[in-house]
Amino acid sequence: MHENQKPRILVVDDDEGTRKVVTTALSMEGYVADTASSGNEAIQKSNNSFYNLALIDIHLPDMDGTELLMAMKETTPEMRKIILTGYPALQNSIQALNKGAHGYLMKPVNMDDLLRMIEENLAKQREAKEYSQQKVTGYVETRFREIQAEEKTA
Amino acid sequence: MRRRENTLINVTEIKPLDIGRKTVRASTIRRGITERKRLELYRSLLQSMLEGFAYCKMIFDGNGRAVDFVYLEVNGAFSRLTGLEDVVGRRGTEVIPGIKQESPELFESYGRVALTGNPEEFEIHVEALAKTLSISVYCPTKGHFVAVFEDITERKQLLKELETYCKHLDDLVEERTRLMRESVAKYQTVVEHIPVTVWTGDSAGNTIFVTPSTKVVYGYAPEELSSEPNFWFKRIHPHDVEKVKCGYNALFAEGKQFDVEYRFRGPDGKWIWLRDSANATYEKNGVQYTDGVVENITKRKELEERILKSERLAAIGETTAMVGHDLRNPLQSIMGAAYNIRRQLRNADPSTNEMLAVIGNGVQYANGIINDLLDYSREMQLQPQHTTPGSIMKQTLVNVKIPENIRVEETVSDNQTILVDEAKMRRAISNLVENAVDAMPNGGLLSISGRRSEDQFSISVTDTGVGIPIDHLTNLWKPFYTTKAKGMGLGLPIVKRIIEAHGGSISVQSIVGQGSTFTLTIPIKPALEVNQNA
Repeated sequence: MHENQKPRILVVDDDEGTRKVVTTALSMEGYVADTASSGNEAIQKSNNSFYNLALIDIHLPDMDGTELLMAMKETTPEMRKIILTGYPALQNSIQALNKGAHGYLMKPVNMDDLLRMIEENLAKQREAKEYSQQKVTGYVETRFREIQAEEKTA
Repeated sequence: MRRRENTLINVTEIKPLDIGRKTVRASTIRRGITERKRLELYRSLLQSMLEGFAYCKMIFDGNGRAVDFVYLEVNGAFSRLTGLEDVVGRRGTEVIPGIKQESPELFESYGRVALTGNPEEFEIHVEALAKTLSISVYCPTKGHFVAVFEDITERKQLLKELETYCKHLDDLVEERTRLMRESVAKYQTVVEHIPVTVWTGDSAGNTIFVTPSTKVVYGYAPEELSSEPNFWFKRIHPHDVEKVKCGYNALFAEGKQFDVEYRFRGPDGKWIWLRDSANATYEKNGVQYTDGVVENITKRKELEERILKSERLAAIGETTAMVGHDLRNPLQSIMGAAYNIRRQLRNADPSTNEMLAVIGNGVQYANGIINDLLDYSREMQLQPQHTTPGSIMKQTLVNVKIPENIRVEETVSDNQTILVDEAKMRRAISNLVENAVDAMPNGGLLSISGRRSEDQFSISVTDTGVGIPIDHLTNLWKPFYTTKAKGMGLGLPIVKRIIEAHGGSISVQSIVGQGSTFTLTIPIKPALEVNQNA
């Protein structure tokens, strides 16, 4: 992965209007936006491509948005997921967060709020990526030293 | 006088005899019937008599007291009735031992008759014979008596039974009469007190009879019913007259049960609902009649209408929820598109930006309406948190827009912990604040104060605005009631629901031209609605 690659965002919503306005806003912001109109399509696409973040409508024609959270392929770094919902109950948001969502917004979303939340999540993701990179580097160095030490004593 | 040998009757000694009710004249002997034949005649008469006959001689003691008697002559009936045989020539005390002791009055009677010559009649129960006898005692010649008697034991028995039976009948009749009186009294009480009127009508529709309850049931006194022809039908609602007439006629023509609910105009001109029913018709003196019952069902009808209305509203409520959710997507599109346009047209002229702002505001407003509707139609779910009134106030005021010309005095500094759904409380208070602002278009003073007592705290929002007229005060809490040009009128009803869900109450005081104060009061240990975290 190259640093200057634009973040890729998957918009999962069965409403065409929503998909259109959100992807337009995301493109203007400099992201690469892709869409899926059902849970199964989203799973398929996430298996075939890498996405930094997914915006998921809670009410999809073939499954609940929260089910989708768990069904999408796990990646490293982990895909950030934000749920968009028409139901304001706190219970739903807790449930969503428990199932792996990183954020939760009420429809109709304020676009500024949405973009802000996306930016925050991408920043967190970059941190997490650096952290794991550091860990891998640290591991490799340690292992290298170990091997060197073994060769010396051999 | 013709004579036969060996028969000699001293005619002068034979006096006219009263034998029971029969009288035989002895004088016919002189007219050529032999004495023997006469004797035979008497003998056969005596023998054929049904009654018992005894001719006896009384025996007196030295003091002239009757002590016994001797049977001189008896007939067949005597033996038959008494069961005594061969008594002639024997004494009474010998033939019926103990008779003097058991039936002394008999003896005394015999004695009296034999002595005085005055006949006597009586009834006596002779235990020794186990019979009751009716006895006539005569005196044919001094010192003698004749007793003629019949067995009335059976008759006496029958009489006794008859008497018992009559008494029994009397008792029955008395009991039945008593029951009937009770029943009539009960019926009268029922008829007078139950709120229905029983009526009798003829086939032409005239009311012949009503029970006294009419005034209670439909407002008119019984006498008024006949004050004009067609009294009843004139007062039935025009839309119901046909239904009533058809039903009534069908009762007489086909025997179909008459059971109709219809509107009827009472004496005060108001419409009431009546249920009128009659089951069967009967004939009397060539005229067809029916008996029916009419009751006032206005209250029930009103209740039914209310239930239907609330069912309708409930159905609307359910649809509303669905519609509300479905509207979120199109609103999202509109909002997102306006946002994108604004960003794309970096250097658009102000009027374009203004238009885009209008779109944005419109969407927000529409969304607000949806939220209000959904809130109102949904069960309130509280998410209680520990917070303080002071912190709620601070958060609320941060988010409410207050125009420059309104001065705000907020003195809720209470920092004691309470348990409430903070978001909803903020919503309630901001609603009150917004209303206060709306009431002061030309500026004024908005003061918010808090008070705490041992078990509750309250927050009051006061404005110096236009005030609310008294007849509007009761309508404030009704959903969809608003005097504003915009808005759906759900704000205050929702505030009320939020407060009541916390177990609290809300009240308002207002003077037209001076302003209003809304006060909400919440118990510190709130009696929260059960639907939490549902």
